[in-house]
Amino acid sequence: MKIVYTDNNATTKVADEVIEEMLPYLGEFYGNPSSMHTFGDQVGKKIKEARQKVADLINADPEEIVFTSCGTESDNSAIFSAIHAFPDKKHIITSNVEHPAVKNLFMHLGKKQGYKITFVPVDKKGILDTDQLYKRMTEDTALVSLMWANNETGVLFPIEEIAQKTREKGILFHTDAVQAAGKVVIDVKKTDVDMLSLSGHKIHAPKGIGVLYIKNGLKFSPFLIGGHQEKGRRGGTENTVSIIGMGKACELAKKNLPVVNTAVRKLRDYLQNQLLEKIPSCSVNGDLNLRLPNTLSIGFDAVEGESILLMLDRYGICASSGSACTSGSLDPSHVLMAMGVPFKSAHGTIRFSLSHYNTPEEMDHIILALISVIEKLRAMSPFWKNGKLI
Amino acid sequence: MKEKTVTLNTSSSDAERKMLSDAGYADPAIKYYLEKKYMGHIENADQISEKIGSCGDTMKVYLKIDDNTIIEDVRYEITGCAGAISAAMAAVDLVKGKTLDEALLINDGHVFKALENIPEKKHHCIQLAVKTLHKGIEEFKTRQTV
Ligand SMILES: Cc1ncc(COP(=O)(O)O)c(C=O)c1O
Repeated sequence: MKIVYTDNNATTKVADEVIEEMLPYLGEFYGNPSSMHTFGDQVGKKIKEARQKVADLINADPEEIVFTSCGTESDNSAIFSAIHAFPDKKHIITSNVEHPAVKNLFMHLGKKQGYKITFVPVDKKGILDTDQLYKRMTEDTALVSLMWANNETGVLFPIEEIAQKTREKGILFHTDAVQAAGKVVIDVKKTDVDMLSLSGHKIHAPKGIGVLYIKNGLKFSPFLIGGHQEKGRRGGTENTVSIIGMGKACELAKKNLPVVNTAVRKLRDYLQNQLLEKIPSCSVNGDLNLRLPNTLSIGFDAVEGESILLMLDRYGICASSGSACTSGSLDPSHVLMAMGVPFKSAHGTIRFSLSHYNTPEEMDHIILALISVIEKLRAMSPFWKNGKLI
Repeated sequence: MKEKTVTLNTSSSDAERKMLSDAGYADPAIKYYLEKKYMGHIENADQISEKIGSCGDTMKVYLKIDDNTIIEDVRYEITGCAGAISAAMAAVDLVKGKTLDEALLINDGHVFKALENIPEKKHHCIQLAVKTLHKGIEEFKTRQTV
């Protein structure tokens, strides 16, 4: 059966060009980039090239790029470094819709290290309450960490404006741009952030490679203390193969950015509008405009998300769900709850996240399949009678 | 990447079966889920009761009761996952033809045994299926005594 993959915010297909770029360094060129000999040094040169390509994607200088093992490590390194930089400040700020890589670390710092944590709320469209944010920034605030784009709804935060405010107040600012990369323009010369996280597997590089951008001149304490690699900012012999893949993926992401914002956006809008038109009682979660071009989070009343996914699987369709059943806890997604999405809609929420590999035919396949799946599930739902929600 | 044709006719319960099996559902549980043989409603039911589970899954049970004592038929309407659906279907097989009091003795353990296995995080679904059924029986009995 042909797979229709629309779960790109979870992970992406490694691009053929990326694999091709990596293979020689998995086999023939296994040298250590730190070695004196030419054999190792040629890997070193390739890493330098990759660093430049990553820098180019976000308009950074190559010295500002540090390779890590994943987006989570980048987030953790940035946050720990920021609090080490200001040991006397005991307040840190984030939002209540962050990825667990940030949210759970903040909870940990609050519980185990006595930090006062502010979780800035979002409104029902997922938009950050920036008034609250600015009001909460004080002399005692060491760090503000906010995601650029939300992984579940795709909603964007006004990172440029927030970066200005934090700069004015002398507070460090980190942004998790894992979902934003390759989908919106990131220019760190214009958007004055101190640190920014990326993850390879969301932009068609392999899993297990991340990047932390660290602004020139910023004092940084390493998370992994070891060798002199990454200019002492991250110990451990480089994951050469994945770094080289990440470089290629960033080059492709830059090239494909216009495609994602035109063709992919068009596919997403088509899918969204057709579903809204053809299936009664469903609604989109998150602001329709301030949103990633590839993401559609849509809630179907009177049905449960995991059972939708199971039935979509029969059609080869891969997506994800915000329901309590899927999360494995008793609560639906913390993002949807934070937005105040009504339970009956959150429980039946599906996220489709597209890439430039998707086609219009695939959208039609999803639309037809979903019409049938929702109809079947509603036929057995206690909340649905005679084509209507009760 | 370039494959343009996607046929809708690919619906296959094999894929679903494998997914459920990998997730930790045993064969009897998968069978109950796929067949959904007691899903739906009963036109002139003697009792209709509804319950919301701790996770938000919701079940409505329809009971047809013979001679005020024997459970003749049961149907469920469910907004819920495979765990909820399989548990409810298994519960019906355990109580059909039994007296109301016998049915009240059915517990989570019996249903789990009938399913053979479902993932641990779905065990609360069994609870919901049993509680909804018991609520229906209790409410029916209360109505008979007043
Ligand atoms: C917004 C966001 N931040 C961080 C991560 C974590 O990245 P990784 O899986 O590379 O650790 C993810 C991916 O799941 C994400 O979506």
